[in-house]
Amino acid sequence: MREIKIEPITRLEGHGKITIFLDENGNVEEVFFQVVEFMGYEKFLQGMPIEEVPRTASTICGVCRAVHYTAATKASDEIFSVEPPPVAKKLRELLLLAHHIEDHTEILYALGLPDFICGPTAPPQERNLIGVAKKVGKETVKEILKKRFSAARIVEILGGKPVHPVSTLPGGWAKTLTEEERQEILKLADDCLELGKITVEFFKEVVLKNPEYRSWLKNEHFNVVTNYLGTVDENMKVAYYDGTQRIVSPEGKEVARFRGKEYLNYIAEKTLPWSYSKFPFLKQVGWKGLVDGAGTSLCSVGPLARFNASEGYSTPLAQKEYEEMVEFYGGKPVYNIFAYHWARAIEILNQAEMVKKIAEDPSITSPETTAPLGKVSGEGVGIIEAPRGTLIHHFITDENAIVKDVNMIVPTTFNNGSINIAVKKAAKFFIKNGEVNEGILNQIEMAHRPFDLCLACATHSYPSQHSFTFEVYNHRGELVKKF
Amino acid sequence: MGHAVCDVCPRNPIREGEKKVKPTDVKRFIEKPPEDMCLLEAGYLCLGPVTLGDCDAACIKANSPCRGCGGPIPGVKDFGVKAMSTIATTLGNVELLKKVPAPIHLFYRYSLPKSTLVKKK
Repeated sequence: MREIKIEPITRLEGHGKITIFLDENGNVEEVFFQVVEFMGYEKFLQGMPIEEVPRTASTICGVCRAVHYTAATKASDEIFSVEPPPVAKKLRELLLLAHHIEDHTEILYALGLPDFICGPTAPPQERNLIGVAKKVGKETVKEILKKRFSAARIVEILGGKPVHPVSTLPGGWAKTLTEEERQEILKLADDCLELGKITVEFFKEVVLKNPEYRSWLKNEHFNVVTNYLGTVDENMKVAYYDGTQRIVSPEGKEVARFRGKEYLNYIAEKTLPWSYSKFPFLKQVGWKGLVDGAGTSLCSVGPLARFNASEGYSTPLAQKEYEEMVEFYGGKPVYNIFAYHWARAIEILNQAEMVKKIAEDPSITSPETTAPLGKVSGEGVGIIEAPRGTLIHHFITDENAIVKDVNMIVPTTFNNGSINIAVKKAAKFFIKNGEVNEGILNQIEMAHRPFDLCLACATHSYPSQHSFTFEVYNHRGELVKKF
Repeated sequence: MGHAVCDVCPRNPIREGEKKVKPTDVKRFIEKPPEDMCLLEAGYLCLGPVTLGDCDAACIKANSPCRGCGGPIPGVKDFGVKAMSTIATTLGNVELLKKVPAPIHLFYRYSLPKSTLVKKK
């Protein structure tokens, strides 16, 4: 048996590896996607006052800061039995939406789409943002980055800093938005809207108009058929900050709806000895292993899952694009992993439209940003949609609202099973008769990029059966001891 | 470079030639602080006096107390010890000091591994 390692895997957030095992004929027998770092936020948030958790949880990751922040904030509302006033909810939603826009832009232009723009087998030194600039023009990339910065600036205005926002409170928001700031956000929202329009057209131009890529979008080898989880509003449209969590089966039928703590009735997590990251599955189906198709217990999250679990987007331009995508696939659910990028592009448009709508509301400058706190309930769950998918924060506290226990289910953990299957299918498709080269290995990596991996916060499992291997090397790089 | 958050904070009364008032209570960050007053004076345990202010007092401008993410000002070896002694002096009252919730999580949030409390001599 031959072993091929892709380590480190590239153009993602965090550190991971893919190990491929070939049989005696050189064809793929088994593939493992593994996270090779470990962060224990669930442990070191213990003992902290719940109101300090959002700004600390936001440091889990510089990339995902506003999403952990918002989820922990919602949980802190429940701990203090308080419903924030409409102004506070709107400011929090604005922060989350702006975060989505800049994150999605980064994922598409810097991590996911270079494979398509520069070519999947182009040398790695060209298959990156610089390569993209060479292909589509430096000015175009500069303009996109400038518009992405507009979204980051909205995060800064609201949260106090472009990274690690700080202005939230249980039951509200600490900073009153000034009229001047609202006007600035309105201007920035126009940039974001333009960015959304450009990105959707860019995707169509680069991917849909290319016959090879277009065929990949419909190729069953790139299908990962699972249940899908997303958040919807009262009109069944995609929601990000607040709403009901909805799960649809691989056939597209609704199998569950839940809010807050009810997630425990539907989601369980499986621990496997070879992974620091757990494998969530549908409790009512029961763990069926790393298999997709009808009857699977795996549940995907993220832009495509939101697309599948909803009935479209709440804003007109995004809804139009949604209908075009449904028509391309001849219905829903859509299983093709590359369609994640398409849905991601449409979401930028949707979120920009939503940002503009909220910023047009002059009431968001009201100083009434907090509500009186209630009794300490001792338990709080915050669920929001992160760019990568549904994020759950669950806290247990003592009577003084000091955290005793934490559970976080993050999007990349939700997608752990789906990523393993996607990578295995791609490996089987591209590796034949033992022939492996750099271009083929990158094409296999293309199967993890649609899931927009963010691995640091996905590592929560440290079961006792794990063991370390220590390798000691001398100054010449020779292995001197292994134990 | 080398300035504390307080040195660049628009709410610091000393920068206006006035005196700082001692806080009369220790408040948790669960209610909206006044938007025009030194947060330490208001009782919010802001760590601005001992934290590097290259951030230009970003958190205070967002009406939230400093938590020390910028690290210690020059000459401070142990951030938590310095922060604790500064807050204790500011409060000037043992009873108030007892009201600080989860002190390790406050004073050592970003610097515990470097603390002399946990480091081997």
